[in-house]
Amino acid sequence: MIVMETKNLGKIYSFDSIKVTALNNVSIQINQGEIVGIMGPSGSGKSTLMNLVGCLDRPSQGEIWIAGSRVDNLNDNNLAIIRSKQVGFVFQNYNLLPRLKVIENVELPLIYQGVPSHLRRKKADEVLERIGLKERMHHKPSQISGGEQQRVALARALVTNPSFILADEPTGNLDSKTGKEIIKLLQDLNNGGVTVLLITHDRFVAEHTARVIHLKDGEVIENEALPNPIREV
Amino acid sequence: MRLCQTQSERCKLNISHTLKIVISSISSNKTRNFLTMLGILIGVFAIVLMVSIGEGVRQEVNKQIEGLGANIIFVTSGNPAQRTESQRMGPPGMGGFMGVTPLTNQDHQALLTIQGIKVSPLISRSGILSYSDLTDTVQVTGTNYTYLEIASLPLLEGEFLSKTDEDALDKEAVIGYRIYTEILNSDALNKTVYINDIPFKVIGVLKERGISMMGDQDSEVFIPFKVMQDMANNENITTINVSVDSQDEIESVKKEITTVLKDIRGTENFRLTTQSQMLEITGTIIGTLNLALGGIAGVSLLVGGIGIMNIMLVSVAERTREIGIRKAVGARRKDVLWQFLLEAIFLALVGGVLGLLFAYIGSLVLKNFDVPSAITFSSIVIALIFSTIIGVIFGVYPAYRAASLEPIVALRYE
Ligand SMILES: Nc1ncnc2c1ncn2[C@@H]1O[C@H](COP(=O)(O)OP(=O)(O)O)[C@@H](O)[C@H]1O
Ligand SMILES: [Mg+2]
Repeated sequence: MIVMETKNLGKIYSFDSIKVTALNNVSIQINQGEIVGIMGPSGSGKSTLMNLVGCLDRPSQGEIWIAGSRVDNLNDNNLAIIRSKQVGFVFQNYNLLPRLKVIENVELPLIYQGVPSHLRRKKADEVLERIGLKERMHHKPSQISGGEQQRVALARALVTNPSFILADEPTGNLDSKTGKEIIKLLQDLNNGGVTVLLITHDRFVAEHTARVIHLKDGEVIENEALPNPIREV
Repeated sequence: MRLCQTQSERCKLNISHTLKIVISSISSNKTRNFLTMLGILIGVFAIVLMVSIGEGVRQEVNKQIEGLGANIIFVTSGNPAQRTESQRMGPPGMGGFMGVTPLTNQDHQALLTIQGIKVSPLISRSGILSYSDLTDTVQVTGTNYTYLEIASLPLLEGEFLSKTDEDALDKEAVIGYRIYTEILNSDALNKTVYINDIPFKVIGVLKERGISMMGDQDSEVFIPFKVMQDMANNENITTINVSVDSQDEIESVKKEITTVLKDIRGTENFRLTTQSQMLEITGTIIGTLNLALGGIAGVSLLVGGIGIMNIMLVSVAERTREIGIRKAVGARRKDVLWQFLLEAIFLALVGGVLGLLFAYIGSLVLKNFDVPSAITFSSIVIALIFSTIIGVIFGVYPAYRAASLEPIVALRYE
């Protein structure tokens, strides 16, 4: 089953009279339960693609389909609902809310879904348990390490049971050891059925996925299947 | 695909979460937010305190006017047609403006011819009272025996001026309670006191009556009005109090008085005031006063509101990234709008409540200094409603700015 699909997707940034074509004619399909790498050098349009399929931004052309519905033409309110229900984001710089405790950060997406507080707490508890951070739940983000913050971000992305997780350079701010832990976590989650899009410029990181889509200058140049992805242990 | 829970459930949840966020955000910037609230605090403090002083004064004045008796007509000199509203506001007896023909014994005599009323003349002036080696400034009032009844004076001991006008020529005095205790050492009857160096025999003492809008009633001395006129060397009378048996007679008696006095004075150069008129006038004055004070307080609320708007715009700018994160995890425009609007309302409301608190303390302090003030329920409600409205008005624009941020722009903000 196709979870997410783009058709001839294009994005042109324009300021004043200068136009930058960040994405051109990108058509990709992501199946339920896949772990897919999106790879390319810096400036190749990876983040632009993530922002579009994550409904944070609108394409200049083409279509985006998520869970069988077309979403690129929805209004702001409905895009917010798609983000709320279908997409889980993991950013390079974690993007946790510094004033909220770990558990409250994880609960945040559920608040915007209108989940009652006792259920919120229960679900957030479960996810933190799953990623092994339960004992840190009452800490503020500033009181835990970068790797732990990224795991909290992952928990926040997972708590709503989204159709897929978008991780944009999730190891970019981490040392290689903690980076590997995050990748292993993503692999484990994928084994448990979660669909993962792992965006990276790093060949080594991309080789942990089962399929790598190569981007260059905003276009897909290769769709490479990896029969034996690296497994972190 | 089920996109949303029921609207009301979602809304309720958001408010409790939002309140938590708002409180944590406000407490994380205590100084800044307190300074912002200060504008609203001062505005509400001013409104509530001013209105309560106005209300207190009104209640006090009304109590005293009512204490004068419902069926009294105050006759004073002056031309009613030439008087402006502001000149009319003074208490009876302030008729001594320049160029005004004063009331005299002749007018008093003439009024005595009217049937079924009681008439008492009043002449008031301050004087120096001394006894043994003690001296004090007192209010000397020349009147006659009818005043005891008209003004319902409470006697402590002795008697009031009791002789008829023709016979009341002896230098006798009835003294107020404070003079009795502080100057005569609570032993006054038949003692001789000196008023402006003239000896008077004390024939009566009044019970404690307290402070009125005309001064300390317990520092008052009553003497026969003809004696007072002798001392002043004229026949002038400040006010003539006329009391009628029932309120229904007031209008007809006023007509009679007008006829009689016009006849004797030639023109209508006198003024008749009743209690209900005085109540009406004080009502108007205090209403105007409140309006003016309300205007001043309104301006300070406006300034406070602008302060809130300013700080909210700063807060939105500082928290752009937070807004982006919230939108990324599913917050809709209205979720963000509510968050910032509630924060503004909360700021204004806390300022308002603090203002109320200070106003309450202020009114207690004022009471200690004998300034009447009364915080009414309506002034509390008005203060709270006003600060909420200020929060909404000045919070809407910053909240709208926050809500309208594009998620991707907000997330990229450094
Ligand atoms: N907001 C923007 N405004 C203008 N140009 C942008 C913007 N975001 C990205 N770009 C441009 O689009 C291209 C792709 O950028 P990006 O998607 O961030 O690449 P990557 O994530 O692969 O490094 C780059 O040339 C970049 O300069
Ligand atoms: Mg990027």
